[in-house]
Amino acid sequence: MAQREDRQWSWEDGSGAVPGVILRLLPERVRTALSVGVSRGLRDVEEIRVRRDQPVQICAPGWEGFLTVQGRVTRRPAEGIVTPAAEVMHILQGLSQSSLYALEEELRRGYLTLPGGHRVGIAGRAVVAGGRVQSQVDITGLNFRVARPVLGVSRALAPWLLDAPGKPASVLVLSPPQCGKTTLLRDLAHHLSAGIWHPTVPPLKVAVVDERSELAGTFQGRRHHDLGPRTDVLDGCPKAEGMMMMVRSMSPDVLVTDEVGGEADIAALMEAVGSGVTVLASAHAAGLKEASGRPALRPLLEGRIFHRYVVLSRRQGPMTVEGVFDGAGRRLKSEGTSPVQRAGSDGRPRAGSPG
Amino acid sequence: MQWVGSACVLTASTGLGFYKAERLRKRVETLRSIHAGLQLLDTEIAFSATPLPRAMARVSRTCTPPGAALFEEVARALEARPDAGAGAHWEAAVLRRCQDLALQSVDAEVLVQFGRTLGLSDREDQRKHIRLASERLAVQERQAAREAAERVRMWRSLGILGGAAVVVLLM
Repeated sequence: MAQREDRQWSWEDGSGAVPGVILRLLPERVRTALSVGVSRGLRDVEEIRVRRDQPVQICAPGWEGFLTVQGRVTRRPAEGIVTPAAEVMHILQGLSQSSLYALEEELRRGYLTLPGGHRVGIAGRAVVAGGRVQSQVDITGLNFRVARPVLGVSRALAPWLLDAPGKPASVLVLSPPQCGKTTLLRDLAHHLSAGIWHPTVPPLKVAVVDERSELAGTFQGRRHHDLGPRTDVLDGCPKAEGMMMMVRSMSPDVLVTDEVGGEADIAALMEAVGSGVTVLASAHAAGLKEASGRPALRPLLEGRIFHRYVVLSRRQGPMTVEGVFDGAGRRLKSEGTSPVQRAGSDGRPRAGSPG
Repeated sequence: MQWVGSACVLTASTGLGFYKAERLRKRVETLRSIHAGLQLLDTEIAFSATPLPRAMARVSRTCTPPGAALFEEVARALEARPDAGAGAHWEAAVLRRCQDLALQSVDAEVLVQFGRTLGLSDREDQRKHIRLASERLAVQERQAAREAAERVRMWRSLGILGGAAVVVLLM
């Protein structure tokens, strides 16, 4: 069965359609409708949202709607395919390999990563103990986020991100959610580790502190993203503690971590930069000005820990580079360039995911 | 000619008696091995939260023979179609294997009921269900052992003597 589907969907790689790994998990009716839709030119689906007793929603850059049985996308909810509780349960069974207990950590975090870096957001009723979310039950909403391959984004930015010839600067990537922060960090880690980032930069030892298992896409012990041959990943570890552990024990040249903020993180970042390690990190903010307005981020900017800031947006699709700024906030690179190349245009793509 | 016929009757009835006795003995063995298998499954779930396809496969490798087949079948089915749910696969496997594992309908009922909860909740809850099923299986196992102790000899003797009686009557 699985093999048959693999064959059926093998043509879609890189063509902007829905990946087989997601299709396999969806209920039969939705799967059929999507395949009909794809054959009619449904492209660039970014999200497939399944909610209990609600129509299936499809989101793509610039448009959204509900999937009909005929494979069309409509704005009228009444015409969409409604997924009852049993079908949502079936999807969960498929996601968890029929073992919900094995997803405790993923349910607590609220999402899981599929092979290929696609992500599934999960919303249900949170089980809280001691003020912290322990797990989720009665799952009502699932959001399949399709990861699109992105080629060489970080290489296009390389000339602006060098401190001195041969030495990459510490970079903070700023953007609202879904603009490609994590993808950019992943791409940087891969290229630096493989030594193919910039002609003057030798291959470097990269340490990744992956608190939310997003950068390496770890799921059930397997890593779904290639972060390069000289990369060590510390999975599921709190950032501040993890950064110190990696600096002390793994002697990295480059330290990569996701979504920093908070005092402990900043102290650890200062420590790492102080010890001569290049730090690549990201934070939620629409731009430099907005970041300096956030109490959690202001000390980060004032401390001049980072020598470069990259601001991303979705103005021309995900990963539009709004600008590259130096440590003092001066603009180095003009705005509005999108280094994103869709897969299929050339070569073999590497997977990346939005966010 | 008469002697040949008598030998046939005697062999058939003795075989039937031994078959009945063997079924009683096998039921005890099966219940015991499934019981042990559930303990192994409990360990897999409690200590490493192993997903069921892998957990079932591991149990089938370490479990003793008659029951191992059940776990193996579920593991294979789950590997092929994980979205159908472990409960459905478990139930199908129990009902299909019921006959060759010499299980009675009460035993099958205990197992099917356990299957309905399989993989559907968190770790603690799963362990509770496993414990419950284990206890119920232990009760069945004791009852089966008692039955076997009483009736294995009876069936064997009945087979031989019944055959002999038929032969005598026919002669």
